[in-house]
Amino acid sequence: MLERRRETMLLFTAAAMVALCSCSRLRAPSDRGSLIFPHKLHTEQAACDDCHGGVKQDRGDPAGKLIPGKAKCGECHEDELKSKCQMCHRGAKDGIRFARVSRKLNFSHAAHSGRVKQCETCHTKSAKRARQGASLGVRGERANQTLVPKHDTCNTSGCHSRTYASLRCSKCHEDLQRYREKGIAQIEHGPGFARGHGTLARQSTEACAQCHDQTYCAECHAAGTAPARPSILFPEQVQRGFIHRGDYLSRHAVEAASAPQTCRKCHGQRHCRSCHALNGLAEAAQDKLPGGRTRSRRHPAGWMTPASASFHGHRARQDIGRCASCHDQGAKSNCVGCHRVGGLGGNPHPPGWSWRDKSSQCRNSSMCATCHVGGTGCR
Amino acid sequence: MTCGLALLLPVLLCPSLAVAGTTLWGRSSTYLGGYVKPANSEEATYLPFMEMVELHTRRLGVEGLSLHTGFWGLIDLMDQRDRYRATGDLTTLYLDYRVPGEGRLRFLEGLRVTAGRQFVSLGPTVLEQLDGGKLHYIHRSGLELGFFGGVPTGTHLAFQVWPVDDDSYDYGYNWLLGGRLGYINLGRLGVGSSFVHRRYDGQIADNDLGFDLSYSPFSLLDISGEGTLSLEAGRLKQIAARAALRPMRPLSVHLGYRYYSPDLWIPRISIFSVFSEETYQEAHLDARWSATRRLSFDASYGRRFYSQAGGSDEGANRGALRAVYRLGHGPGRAVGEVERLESPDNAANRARVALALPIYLLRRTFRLIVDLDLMALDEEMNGARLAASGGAFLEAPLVPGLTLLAGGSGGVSPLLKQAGSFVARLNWDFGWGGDAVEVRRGGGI
Repeated sequence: MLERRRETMLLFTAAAMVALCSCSRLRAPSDRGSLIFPHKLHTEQAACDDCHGGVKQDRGDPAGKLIPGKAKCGECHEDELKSKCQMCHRGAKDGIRFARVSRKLNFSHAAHSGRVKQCETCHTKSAKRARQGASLGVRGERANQTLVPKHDTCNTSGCHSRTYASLRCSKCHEDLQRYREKGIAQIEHGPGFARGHGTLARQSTEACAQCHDQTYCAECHAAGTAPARPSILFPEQVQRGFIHRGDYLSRHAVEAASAPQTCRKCHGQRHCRSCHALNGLAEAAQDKLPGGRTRSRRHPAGWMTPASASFHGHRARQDIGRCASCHDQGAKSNCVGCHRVGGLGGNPHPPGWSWRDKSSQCRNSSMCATCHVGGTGCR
Repeated sequence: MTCGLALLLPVLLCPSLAVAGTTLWGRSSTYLGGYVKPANSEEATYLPFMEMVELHTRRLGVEGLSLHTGFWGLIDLMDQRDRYRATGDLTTLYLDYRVPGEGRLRFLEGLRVTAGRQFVSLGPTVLEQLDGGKLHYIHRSGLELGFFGGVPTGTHLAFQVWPVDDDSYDYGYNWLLGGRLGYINLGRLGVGSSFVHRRYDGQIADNDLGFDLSYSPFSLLDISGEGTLSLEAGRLKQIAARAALRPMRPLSVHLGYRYYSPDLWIPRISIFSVFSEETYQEAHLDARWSATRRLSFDASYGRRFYSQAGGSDEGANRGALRAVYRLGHGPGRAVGEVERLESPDNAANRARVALALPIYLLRRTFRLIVDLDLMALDEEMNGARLAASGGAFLEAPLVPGLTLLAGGSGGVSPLLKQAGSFVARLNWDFGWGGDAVEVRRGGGI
């Protein structure tokens, strides 16, 4: 019966997959480049504002509103408008529409037209070409994407270089969220970015804020207030370098020991301890050894033997945070039982210890006073 | 109930905000999941129902003023222990005011003030989620000045410093404050110094001074570095330096060095902060070859050196290879990666294949997501060395702005033995006023 049900399920799944594949196509209908418009040909016969009427008075985000409509084209192309759609519209047969793209700019053509005399100064293929005085839209085949000035055009002309350098992006852009990052080294999302982006973000937090709001940072960094790991909340974002992917639970001990401070940047020891306790790994969980002795499940053989490679003193010095992840029950944690003034464990301070040697701190700190009762041992 | 009201809030506010010229947008994500996991050594079944909301406004009545928030609430429909369980939190809620370049305050253009629950990141000394305020000013000349202060909400400082059995302990407050002075010329030079002072239970937890520098002598090379000095310990807490090169257009190479004192990441009020002064260093190399516009390969290698008290050093390697192929015009991706990570005790070898395949069907873009992750440990853990986990999901657009994702994941693991879960998620991207519909979330890292 079970076998039969399994076979039915398999058949159903296979049929569903075949149906899905046969009905689908792995290519998106696109309107990019669907308009065929040689600017070069048109500028030889008409002035810019013949088609882009009112451009010199335009204020605010152009957002495609200066692109002439069908009626304007019809003034010259009346016949083609009726019967030769494909002369201008590449995807006319499929009914693909030309999309007007808002670049969300705080841009006023009116303000610029007073200072910049020729449209070509900005509307060329690149700033380099602008300096060379290149003519407008040399290739001009894909009219909907070629002539919007590049960032370099605004900067290298010397007009907006300071605005750019002091991160006043909002002077021109409402925000930059729709743009892909460019090759500015300081904000480039290059190799190893997930691991190294903290350094860049801390140095230039405003640069990040131009594209990412804080809820985006919170997806990974709000360890204390987020509901779950980002890889659980956003399974569709397969390309992002989420740290806690896959079976992270089993891997976390290796990661934590490999880079001891990494976990601590987001998680305090209470986070570790609560989970260790829940899963029976806290200090109370012990294995029974021959002879009635016990050993914590977390600790390997030789943990209490000074000559052993696994001696706890050696491991504690190397990664003290790991000890704290279970044992930090305040100043009276179990380490202090032995490692106190006059205790069996001896002086726990590392060689050359100097930090709390200042007698005032040693005498007044509640933490120090746990071992140095009444200032005993303080210099 | 709270979440429901929160969802209704933008709808109720919408007409008045639209009139005031405010743009409001955001996302609501409703999750229904189910999974089994051990709790107190007994298996327990969970059926959480969760609502996550993200809200943003622009021009909140005043030019330059905006409000941003993210919050969530969860009710477990099948908690065997407490009949049901409810929880939730506020991830962010802050007012953001950027002085506009026009008007009476135009001489303060470049000043940004934020207040509320937020992330603060000013210089190498701090990345902290706090309830407080931040003031950040970048002058047109590039001079940068910032101050912040508040109560930390993260778990960095969640150290128990008071004696367990001492009820008479005099609790103090948790707070931090700091600032930064710097200069920025984006794409050329950035240099700064920062300071943070943290208190936990009224006692000094950290007192750090940081320095950072980034310099691009020409467009193909970028050098950056940062360092933090613990004033309490009088030692360096961390140093990180990096050189990014782009010798040719498709190739990026990053060379890096890091130095850490792990014990200085433990607040100075913890008893564990007096036990160790070990350090470790790492040299690493990361490279990306963008073979085509769609295909890129990443390779990284790092070698860590752990200094020990006896003077001998232990080393450990980490290395990874990753290939990403972009599918279609949207967010479709195919990712393959292998990784080896070593630590002094153990090492993890991992391989992952993931696919987010766009399928254009019935004039809509569906996405099939498959993610497989395999891991092998060098040393046994809990009697096992191998782990495998994977998931499959289908994302379907229902109507514009509304997307449903459903699927499940499962795996075998040395610690959880067997785990399985399912999830259904309904995303609603909404927006009113201005150009809200076009606002998209930031790109992926």
